[in-house]
Amino acid sequence: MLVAALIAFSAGAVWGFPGGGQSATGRELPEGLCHRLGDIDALFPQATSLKEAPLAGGVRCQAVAAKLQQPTHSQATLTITVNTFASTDDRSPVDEARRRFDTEPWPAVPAQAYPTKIRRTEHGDQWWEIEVLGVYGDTVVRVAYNAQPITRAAAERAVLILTDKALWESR
Amino acid sequence: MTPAPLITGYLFDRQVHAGNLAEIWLGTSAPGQQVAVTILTAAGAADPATRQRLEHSAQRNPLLWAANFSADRPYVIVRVASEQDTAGLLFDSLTALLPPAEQLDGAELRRLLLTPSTPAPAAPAVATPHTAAVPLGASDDTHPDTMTARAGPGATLKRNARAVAGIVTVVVICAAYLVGGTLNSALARSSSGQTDGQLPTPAPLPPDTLLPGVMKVPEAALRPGLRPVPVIGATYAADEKANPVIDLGLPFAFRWPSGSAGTIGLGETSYALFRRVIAGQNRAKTPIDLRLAAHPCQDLPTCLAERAVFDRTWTQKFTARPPATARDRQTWYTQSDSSSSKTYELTLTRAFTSCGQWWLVGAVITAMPEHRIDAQKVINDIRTQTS
Repeated sequence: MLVAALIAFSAGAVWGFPGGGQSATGRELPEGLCHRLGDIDALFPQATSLKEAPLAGGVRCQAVAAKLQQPTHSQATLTITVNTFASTDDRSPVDEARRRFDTEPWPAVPAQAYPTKIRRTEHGDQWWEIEVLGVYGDTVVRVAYNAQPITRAAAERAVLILTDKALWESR
Repeated sequence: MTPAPLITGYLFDRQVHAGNLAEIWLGTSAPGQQVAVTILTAAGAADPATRQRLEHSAQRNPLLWAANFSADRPYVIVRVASEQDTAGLLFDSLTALLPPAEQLDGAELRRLLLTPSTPAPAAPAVATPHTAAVPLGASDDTHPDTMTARAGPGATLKRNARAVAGIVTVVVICAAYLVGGTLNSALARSSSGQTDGQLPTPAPLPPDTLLPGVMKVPEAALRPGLRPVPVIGATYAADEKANPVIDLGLPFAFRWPSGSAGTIGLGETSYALFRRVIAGQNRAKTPIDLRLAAHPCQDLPTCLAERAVFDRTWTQKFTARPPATARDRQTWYTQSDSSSSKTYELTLTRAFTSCGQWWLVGAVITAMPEHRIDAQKVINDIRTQTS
């Protein structure tokens, strides 16, 4: 019996649950992820919070301050999308996430702890749209921040911090 | 009647033949298949010729289900398709297994098979010579089912103990596989998060990421009946036809020469608002081109203190000459009318208050020479409307 149990244990360790417990739609993200990303008031003309929207294979958090609804000439839109990936026939979840990350031809951000890409679009004076894509394990985070008035450096710093937060809270 | 043979996985309850060398019993297998067993008695098992005949005939039997020739009481089990055909096919199968001295009568076997079943006596507490001839632990030679002929309560206890041991073995194996599978899952999950080094602890967001925007102002209306206050050159006559420009989001309105005026937003920063007005819709070939900047300031002294920076900011943005000539203590202008230039340029900076808010406004208008007077009227009207 002992020998049989050892053989069964070895078989389970080698072949058992190879997907790492993942479903076909990828790992389930923690509850209340958008709320866990914390206070984002510094990015908006008025206090606001991220709203969670349903998304296949992940979570989308969004907050919008439309220019027409502000007392000042200000606007901001923040969208954070977190996707986890499941294994396919020939790819692990990590490979699937990396494949999605590689589809964007944006320049890489150096000195990051994980692969990161960035796209900067200037819509006008002190009006920037910054998009950052980060991949860590089976998770891909995309943060898009469109704001005015703002400097490019401040917008980039904020988006990179939010990418860190989204990946951190998605573990 | 001798006690029914005890063979694990089968229940035999009707004896159809009881000879000195062999017995025939009818019964069912565990899954419900009707079967018949020919089992040698102790005397039959002791006779090598009888054993050999049983084994030899079993190999050719078309209804063979299971057999055990190594048991102390060798036996052969055949399946029974139905009682109706048992009399024919089964008779041949069974009689072929019997020793020649104990061949059955066909009619007698048919009668026995079709007779309603009556339970056979249970195995005696003390094994009879017949049943005791079947050893415990003997294994089946032909069928995968466990079919060990055995006898006595000691055998039953051992059989039950073995069944429990089998169940425990299966449970242990399943549990071991589950533990191994869980370990594999955990390893796969942890490896998925360790491909790119450790995640950095997120830093807090800087408190002043978004700069404060300039407050919006209510739409300014044209102030009628004002006495013109010229900076330089011509002004609108009292009854002159001109179009009001009121939709720029600036704290003042002004008049535009006859003809359509196209307004263009040039954006807003945390410092100022920027606008453009052209004659017609063609930005590249407009005969008159006005660019405006407006910066809020706390009060007049602050506006005056900030004027130099303001002038540098908006004239650099619009590539214009900074207003250098003071018209009054709140108004400055510069006129460019050189013969070398094919365009007329007039710039203005003025500090004024509107709805309790102080502003610095900068304006540069460029015009084709034939629209020089129109350009002067526009700048002078801005000066007048900001009085």
